[in-house]
Amino acid sequence: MKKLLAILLCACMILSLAACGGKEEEAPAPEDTKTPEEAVQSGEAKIAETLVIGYDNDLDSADPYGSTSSQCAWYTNATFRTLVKSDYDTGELVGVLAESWNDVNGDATIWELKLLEGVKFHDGSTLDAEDVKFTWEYAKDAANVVKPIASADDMVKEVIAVDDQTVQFVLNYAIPDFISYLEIKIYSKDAFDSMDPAEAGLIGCGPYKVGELVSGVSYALERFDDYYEGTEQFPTKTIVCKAFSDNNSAVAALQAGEISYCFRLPAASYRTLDSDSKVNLVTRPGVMSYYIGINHRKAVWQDVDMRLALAKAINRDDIINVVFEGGITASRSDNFCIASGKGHDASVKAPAYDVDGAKALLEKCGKVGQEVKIMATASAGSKDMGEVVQANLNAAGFNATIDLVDGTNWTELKKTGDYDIFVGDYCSYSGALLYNFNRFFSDGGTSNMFDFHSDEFMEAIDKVRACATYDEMVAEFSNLQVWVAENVPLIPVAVNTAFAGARTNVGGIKLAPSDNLQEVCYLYATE
Amino acid sequence: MWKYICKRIAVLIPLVFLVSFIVYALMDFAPGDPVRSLVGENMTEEQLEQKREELGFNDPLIVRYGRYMKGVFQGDFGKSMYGGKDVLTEYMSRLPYTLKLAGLAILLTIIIAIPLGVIAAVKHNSWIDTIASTTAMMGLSIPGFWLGLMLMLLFSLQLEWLPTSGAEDGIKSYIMPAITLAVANASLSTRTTRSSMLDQIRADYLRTARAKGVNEKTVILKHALRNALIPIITIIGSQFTVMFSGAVVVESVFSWPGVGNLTLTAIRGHDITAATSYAILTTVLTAVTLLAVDVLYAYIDPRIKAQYTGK
Amino acid sequence: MSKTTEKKSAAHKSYSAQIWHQFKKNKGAVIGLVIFILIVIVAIAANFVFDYDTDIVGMNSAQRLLPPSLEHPFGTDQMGRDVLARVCYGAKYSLLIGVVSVLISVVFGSIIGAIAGFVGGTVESVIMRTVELLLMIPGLLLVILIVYCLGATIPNLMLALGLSTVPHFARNARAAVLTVRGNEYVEAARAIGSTGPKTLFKHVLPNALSPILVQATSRIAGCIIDAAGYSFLGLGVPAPLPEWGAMLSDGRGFMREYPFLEIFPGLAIMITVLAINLVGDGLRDALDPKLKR
Repeated sequence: MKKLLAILLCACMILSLAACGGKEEEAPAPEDTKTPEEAVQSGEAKIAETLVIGYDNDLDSADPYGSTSSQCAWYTNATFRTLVKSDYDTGELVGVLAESWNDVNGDATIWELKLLEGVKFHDGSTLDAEDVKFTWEYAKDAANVVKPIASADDMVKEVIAVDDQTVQFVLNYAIPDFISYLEIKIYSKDAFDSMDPAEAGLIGCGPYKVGELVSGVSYALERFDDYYEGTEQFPTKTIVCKAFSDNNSAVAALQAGEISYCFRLPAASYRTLDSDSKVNLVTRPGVMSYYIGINHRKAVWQDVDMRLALAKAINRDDIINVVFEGGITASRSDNFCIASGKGHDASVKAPAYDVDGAKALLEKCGKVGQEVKIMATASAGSKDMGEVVQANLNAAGFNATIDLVDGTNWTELKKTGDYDIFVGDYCSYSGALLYNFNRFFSDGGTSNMFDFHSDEFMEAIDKVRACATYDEMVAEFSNLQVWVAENVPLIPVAVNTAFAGARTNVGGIKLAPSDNLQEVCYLYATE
Repeated sequence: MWKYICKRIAVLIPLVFLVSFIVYALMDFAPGDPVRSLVGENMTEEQLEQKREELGFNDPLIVRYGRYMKGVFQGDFGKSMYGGKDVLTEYMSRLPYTLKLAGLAILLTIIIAIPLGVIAAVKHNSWIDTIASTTAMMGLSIPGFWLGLMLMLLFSLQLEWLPTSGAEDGIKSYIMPAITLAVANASLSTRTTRSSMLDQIRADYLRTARAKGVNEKTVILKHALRNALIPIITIIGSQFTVMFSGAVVVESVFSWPGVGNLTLTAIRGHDITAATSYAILTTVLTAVTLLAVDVLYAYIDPRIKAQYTGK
Repeated sequence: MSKTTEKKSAAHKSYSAQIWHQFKKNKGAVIGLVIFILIVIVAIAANFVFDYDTDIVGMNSAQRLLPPSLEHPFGTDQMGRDVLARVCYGAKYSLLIGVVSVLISVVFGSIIGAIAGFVGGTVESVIMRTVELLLMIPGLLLVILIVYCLGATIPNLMLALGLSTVPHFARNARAAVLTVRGNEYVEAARAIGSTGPKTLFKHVLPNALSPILVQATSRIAGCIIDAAGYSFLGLGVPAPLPEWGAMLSDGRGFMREYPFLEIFPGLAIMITVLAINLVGDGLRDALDPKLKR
């Protein structure tokens, strides 16, 4: 009897805990708070020496070519500099380490770049053409690196260091927009000559150098005072990134003030942080594209009508509502070339949502009740999207099931798995016009994991390449977009809205559209 | 005694082989190409092949395993496939966090379970006994990670007294993870202490001592507790080993930089060398801990010591 | 004639009837049993009451994240699904995984242990050395590896959980066999001429049954918690199945604003495990000869 009473008592205590859920209404923020920028300018506030940010992964490598992870990418954005940079807001190509460039013969076969003078690396050496030549050759060789230079195909015949500040790229064929492929981080050859490759690969010429790395706990950046542009733009001396095991922990830490800034937050946390008066949310259109990939190895999907049936059955608005908080964390995309992408033609649209049209196509092909196995990973966004697509397809007369797989073998599974469609995403950011279309749809393209093959497509893309000037390329590119929209090699769904959370005392926020493009070097916090 | 210890240490060699082979073979057998997972979509087929060759993946399993084990016995546990970090260094840098957390959890267990168990046994069937037994029962039934989440909800998010994650805030960071880890063990230990004390209290030899007129308190503390200690130490010892691996879930909830998380990441990343090395290291550590516990037994109970050294 | 028969039946009540009588006396154990039976009923009924596609996995974007109300006593989750329905439906996964895993453990473990104990000699040595070595390998590691290699499906999870505890049951089985082997009345039985396997069954089984039964019940409880933990880590039951651990993992992102998503599945696990533990305790007390009337 006593035991029974005791158990009942405990049960009551737990249920009362359940009842006291949810946060009360936050008191509205006081009216006259200055932004961090204003506070600093008016001299009211000092800038903290150390800033703590958060990310849901530990740094696996501080060598830009040692890993393909996003944390390696954004970390080395602060420690390295590239030859050129494509401004992700204006789309313009600007020189960084390269001051200027010109087409030597006028036929886009030899490109010559002039490098800036007086650029110092973290080990004290100075930038010269040998560094560029060395980087290209070292990082093109897969045996040396994990992430080779973006040009997987053999564009470049040789790289010549003409003199200290001049480097030439001799190409195998004419490429009018070759310079846009040169967003590559430059190593210091002197470092490789004098140090172990594992250490030399960490030496760059960026405004920060590698700081304290504590495995599983945090990774830090230390300001480099000899940075060639000076350090006025980089107020924080030490930027420390805490590694969390998942981004829900990061949300909690941000709300508790344990970290000041986090740009990789789960979509679900948007509402939570929006209502928190101590956290500001910054948003911008992203470049993470979500799509439904189709397995072209299966005969049924080689029929364009079946692919059209799939495309018409899928309701992008459903996906936006359920998976992306009604359009807050992503916006719909009806074109494989995303809205902010180079050469985007806004008039091109993928097949619209049309359930009856989808049903009609299924009947026409005699495939009502066609089985569709959807492959997705167990991560929240992927799984949710898979579930919505499943519901959509079933409503249109398909017979869809979901297969959830572990994300680590994702690349392998796209290539060899027995699926019909999969939930995919990719970073659609690129300075080069044809980069994404090429890698996804060309024969042997590095991202063409679903074995799409079309002679028509190859002809169409060659037409773009054959254009003599960049403007002609853009015009021809529109036709390519139309072709892709009508032939549905895959189904574009949405583009993310990047958002970051920052404590109210954080300034210098420059939000990039995707994780690998983030620049944390401008951040600071006021005390 | 030393002979016994040496014999136990000698057992480590076949253990290492067994563990390493099971893990290595299982991970190799797992679906997927580790090299492709490593490089993602950035390489052409030729470059992928080159990478595979360079990492030695084209050799048969036995050859690779042999090469790996040769390295292990020379002290080289290999390099992580992701970022090339040295596996042994990684493990050693994370081990202190796991040990400190496990140590604190065990301390909590001992401080709570033993007194509670003893009092519950002595005041058998009183209200103290009921509360202790019921709490222990509930503690045993609660999923650890759920308790962790609830604690975090209450103390970090609602009350904002404790940090949500990480190990950097000094003793404050340790509190919730240690409690979460300790609850199941403390509950089990309380119950074991209570029942083994009960057994002892009723035992014949105690009746004799009481008949002789020895003070009740002395009877309990000196004789009963001492004999009850054996099963208690068993529980605590075995819990220590559970804490190495069982802490994985707690580490996930609190972003605790321990070795459990490290192993899980390696397995999920299909990093065969790293995963096997972590498995070996954890198992060896576990075996050594068990040995230490057994030596402790011998110290407490001469009968057991005779068992080890005698025939 | 009838009087003697009555006397006989009173004195020789069957073994299981005696156990049941003892068990009934323990109020906590009976409550645990009642709760457990209720949970089983709910699990079975849920299959018929709820339609899988609309209630369990169908999404309803208009009704996302509603707090507990009369219409949705446990609220709705981020896909608009009723949490009460999912919790009820999810009971079957935990129960199935718990029971089947332990069944696998008990069967394989007991066979191995019994063989070792009965045959003796080198065979016994080899088997027991291997068992001891296996006991030193962290169980979690084994489970994660097996699930990772074979894929995260329910049968694989059952297999992995089952295999990881085989060594424990093997050890118990062997100990039970050894105890009985030296037992006097087995000697006597042998003297009369009962053959090996028969002896084994007739005398070992009742003796071994009690510790196995008790350990099995506590192991079922442990398996349910473990399975929830693995699903929480993403290594257990595949989505969108409404397994309790997976539901806890899903709700993490919303924990601050919508804590009910984390509270109810967790309570479900706890109550189920508590019930099983109470039953296990009752069984242990009922089967313990030392606590006899």
